[in-house]
Amino acid sequence: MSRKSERLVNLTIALLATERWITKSEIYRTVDGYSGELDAKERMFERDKEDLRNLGIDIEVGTFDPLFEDEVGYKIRPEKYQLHLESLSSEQLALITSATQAWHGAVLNSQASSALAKLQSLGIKSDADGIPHLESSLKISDTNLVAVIDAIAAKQTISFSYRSADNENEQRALEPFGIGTKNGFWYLAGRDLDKSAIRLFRLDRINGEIKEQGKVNSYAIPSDFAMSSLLASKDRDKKAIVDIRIDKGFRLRKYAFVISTDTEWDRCEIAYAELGELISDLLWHRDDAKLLEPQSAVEALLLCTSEIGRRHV
Amino acid sequence: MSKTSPSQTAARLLDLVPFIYTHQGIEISDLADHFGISQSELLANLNSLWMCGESRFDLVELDFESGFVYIRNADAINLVRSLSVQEIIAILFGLDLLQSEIPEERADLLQQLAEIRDLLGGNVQPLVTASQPLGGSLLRTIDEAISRRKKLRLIYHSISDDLKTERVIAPIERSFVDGHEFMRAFCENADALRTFRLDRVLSVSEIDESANQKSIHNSSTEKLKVKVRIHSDRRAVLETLGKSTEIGDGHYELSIFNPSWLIREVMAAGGSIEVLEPLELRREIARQVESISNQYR
Repeated sequence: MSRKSERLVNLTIALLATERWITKSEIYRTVDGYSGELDAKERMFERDKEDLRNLGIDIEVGTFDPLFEDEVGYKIRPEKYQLHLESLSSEQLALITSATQAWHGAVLNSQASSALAKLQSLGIKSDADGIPHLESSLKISDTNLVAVIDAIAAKQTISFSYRSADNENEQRALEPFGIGTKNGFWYLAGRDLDKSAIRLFRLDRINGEIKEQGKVNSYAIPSDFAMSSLLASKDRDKKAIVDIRIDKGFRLRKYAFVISTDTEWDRCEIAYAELGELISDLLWHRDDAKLLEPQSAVEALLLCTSEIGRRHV
Repeated sequence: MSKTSPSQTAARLLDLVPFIYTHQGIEISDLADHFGISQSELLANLNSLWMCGESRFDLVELDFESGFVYIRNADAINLVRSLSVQEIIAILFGLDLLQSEIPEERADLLQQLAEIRDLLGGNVQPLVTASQPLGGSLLRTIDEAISRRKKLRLIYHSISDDLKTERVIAPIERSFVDGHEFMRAFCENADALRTFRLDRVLSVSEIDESANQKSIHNSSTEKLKVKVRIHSDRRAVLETLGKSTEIGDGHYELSIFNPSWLIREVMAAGGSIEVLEPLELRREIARQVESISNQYR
């Protein structure tokens, strides 16, 4: 196994060190680690090329003479292999260092540390003066997160079993686009292949392991895709008038302002996004909240109470 | 820890080269820490790297027997590799968290964060977003109180009674369960151990009083066994109720500490949850529905 990794490094050295195209036969002759029959060497080389490409190392293929395409050559362009971040400042490096602490003890820790090691290899002195130390961290041990970002990086379709709204396990297939957190939960977004539309999935509702399927680079992420807008809270563009008992309804008051007040009640205007949520919030407060307007919402709320009542006769 | 594949090992070997070049003479233990690996794994890597080169007569020169690592003759791979999409994603999430903790008056740092995102992110940036549900300063205050064994004055939204309560607590530890941050603390007002959900903390401030560990008489709160039937929205209801056992056909059994919490959730679920047992609780719900409805008569 160690010989394979050494061969990969040797191949990278050879392809980086050359300015001209080098052929397979030259590679077999000069790069240490290729042995056996020609067939075996060919198979080794094909797998090695694939492995390096999966590491993000771009191997170019070209010919010496466009008139004779029988023998192709290979090389890696150093300028493509190399990270170009010459303009990164000491302060910026310190900020990134602080940011990568977010993954301490969580599933992307090795990606965060290898990223940091690369940046620290640039020879920039980190200047941590006045840079805040990160207090919070991303506490996630779900390895499906790694599968998701690998699939996003490779543009590879994934499939998984998902707990649907009626708590049944459904098989879903998805072209993953993005990943994000909201209210402490992790969400995955992408094009649902059965529904042919962009859908959000909560990572903790996935059962078992996410599996990749099909080829890499099998789709493109739309250029207007933005995870942050998918996870944005809905606009509270509707208004309701509600009486809230004085000193109660703490949660309701976050989006409310008091219009008038008497000995027992504050009359408030509440901004809400969805009627169902508003009713649920109001009922949670039992008889500490009373909905006055709009009338259609009052009727919907009374339907709910009669439903609860009917269930508990 | 999963086994490292040959190509992952190769990637690490390639990344070690420019790092050692810019950190000539680094101690083996430091180098292992920087790459998040054990010293023995690092030594295995260095021994592999030693065997690499343009040809078997032109190998990378490594010196690490003294415990300090030096490298020569690896010019072709003395290049920092581009960041992978996964690495960029990991950094972007960290930057989002960091941004939520930076106070507004540090506009200079916020500007720097935006620049870093552009430098690294480009096309990856729109794919990720992290929001820190709690302010960084809250966590900092709690962690400092825990480490310095100080007490805290806590204003807390007590959900079951919908009350704002003020307490003096001695924090013990923080934990993270099912997407929420919690703090375990000795509550002086209740004279017992309590667990607080941090997103319900309205404010917290340190008191200059040491938190002497009192003898904690564990007030064993009685749990109530409840049977419910879920009529619709089964996933949402189960996620709200937490740990429960299905006893067949939409019927579930669970143990709760606080009946008034369950009553509120039954109301908020608008008919999805039916409490079957205990009968008293079922009647209490009917009574409360009546009292809500009466407000509209």
